[in-house]
Amino acid sequence: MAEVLGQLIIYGFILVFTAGFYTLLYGLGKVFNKRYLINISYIFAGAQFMSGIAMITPDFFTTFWKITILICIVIYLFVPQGMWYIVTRIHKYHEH
Amino acid sequence: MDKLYESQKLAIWYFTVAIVLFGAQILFGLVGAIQFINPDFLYGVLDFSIGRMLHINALVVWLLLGFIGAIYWFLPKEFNREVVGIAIGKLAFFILVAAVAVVVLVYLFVQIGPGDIKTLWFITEGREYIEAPRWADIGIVAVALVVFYNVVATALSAKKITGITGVLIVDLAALFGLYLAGMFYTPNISVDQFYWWWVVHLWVEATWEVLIGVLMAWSLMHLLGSPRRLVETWLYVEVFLVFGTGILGLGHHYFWIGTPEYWLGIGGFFSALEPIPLVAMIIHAVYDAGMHKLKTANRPALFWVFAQAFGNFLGAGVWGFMQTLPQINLYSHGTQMAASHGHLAFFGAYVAANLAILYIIIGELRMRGITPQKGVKYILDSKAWKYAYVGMIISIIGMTAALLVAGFEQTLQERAIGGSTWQAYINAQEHPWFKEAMLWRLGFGIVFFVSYIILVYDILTIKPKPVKEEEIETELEVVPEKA
Repeated sequence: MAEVLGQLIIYGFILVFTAGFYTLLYGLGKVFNKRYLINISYIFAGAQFMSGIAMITPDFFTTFWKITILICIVIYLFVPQGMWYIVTRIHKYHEH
Repeated sequence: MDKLYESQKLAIWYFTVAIVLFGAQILFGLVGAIQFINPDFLYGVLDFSIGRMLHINALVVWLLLGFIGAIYWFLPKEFNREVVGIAIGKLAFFILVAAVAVVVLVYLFVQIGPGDIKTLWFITEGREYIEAPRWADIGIVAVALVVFYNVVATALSAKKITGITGVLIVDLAALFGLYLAGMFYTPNISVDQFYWWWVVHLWVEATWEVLIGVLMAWSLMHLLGSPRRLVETWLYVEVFLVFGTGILGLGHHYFWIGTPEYWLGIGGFFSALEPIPLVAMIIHAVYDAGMHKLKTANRPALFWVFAQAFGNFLGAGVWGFMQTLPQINLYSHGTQMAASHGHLAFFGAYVAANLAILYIIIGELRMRGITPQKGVKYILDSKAWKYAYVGMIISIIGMTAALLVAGFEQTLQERAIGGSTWQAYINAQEHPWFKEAMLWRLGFGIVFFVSYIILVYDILTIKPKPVKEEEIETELEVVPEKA
């Protein structure tokens, strides 16, 4: 049990950490128009998704918690695009 | 100083005391760090329980002083007039500083009482993080009400209410109201903890977050020249996101204090969502940084703003999520993992913000008396702030990482394997991962203290430097003439 617990803590760390790096690199790629940064960001997106899957694979969590984690990792996949849309729309609206 | 608003002079006083208390916080932290390695250090003179209390209380108070100072700095700029109740504002400042001094002296020299009603009123309430005795609690609420009155009265007097001040007024009302929950005495420990968390969690993860949003909105307007409508729109978005997850995220503190079981679901679900707005805000920080190409006139302030955005994400988001689900938190709560999370989250969310605002104030103050020249702009820059900035960030990450290793070991060895027995606790404290982590934490703590000394040196000496006009996009603001 301790081994699974330790793994879950590490996966949880990686999940949000990679979600942040996915967002950071996606944003940098968009701001500086660098396609390769956006491509690298998808590696982090994959890492965050996989770490979430790794969290829900063992029987440690019940169905409610597995669905909660699944919702989180799906939301994280679309946070950069969604926030980029909102940020650029707000800036365009107020600056023109 | 004759052209400064009285309110802005008051802001400088607030920040001066805040920075002194910041130093006290670090020193008491170092004492605690040494005691983890050598428990006999200052035993019977300044025990760990007292040093830790002073370490955390100094943090809370200096951050609060910085927030109030920032409000007093920006408020006259917002309304182009002096703050209405400035005299009572100054009186409140002196009362607050005197009260803090008396409370610290009581903490140091009286330390504990018999646990009766006199102890509660005059020595310590005993509630973790908000141990101030009842008379000081009342003083804190009174000072907070003075700030609230000054904001409302100044807005009414100017016959103007902006989006930022509207959010500020509502937030201050919530902030002061929630503090009252921490003064509610009951012999039922579960009920007591239930309301105590209203202060600790809802201050830190709701009202303080919104207050920082308000202060950052003002900061971005003055630092990057961002349009008011833009920052106000962002402020509303932030308030929606923070309150949307932060308020019911309170439930992660209700897991193990005797509250009904449904708090496991509510707290866990909303806590799991809490990092999402922090991740989302990264896009905005990157967008702003990219659009302005870091060519701002106030380099230290801008870099501390970025440290705030990313520090908040790492400390609150990453470090929070990995221990917030109840099945994990059952084993990790109360270990050094919580201390690890606390260190990085407070540094990222609040310390960085206070330092950013302090540098905005310094930039405006030091530009006074400089005659503008054609083709020349001024930037606030020095080598010292960079050393302090890098030193503080490296050392806080180092301390956080060391505490994380120690907490990880406690979670596994003491809780999951040892079953939380007293012997398991002792074994975990003796484990090499724990002992070595504490050595690393002390080392990084010393680096943090050295960085603080450099920061203070820079605050006292940094001056605007002339650069060619095309090298920067913005200009350092000058403190305006009195209206």
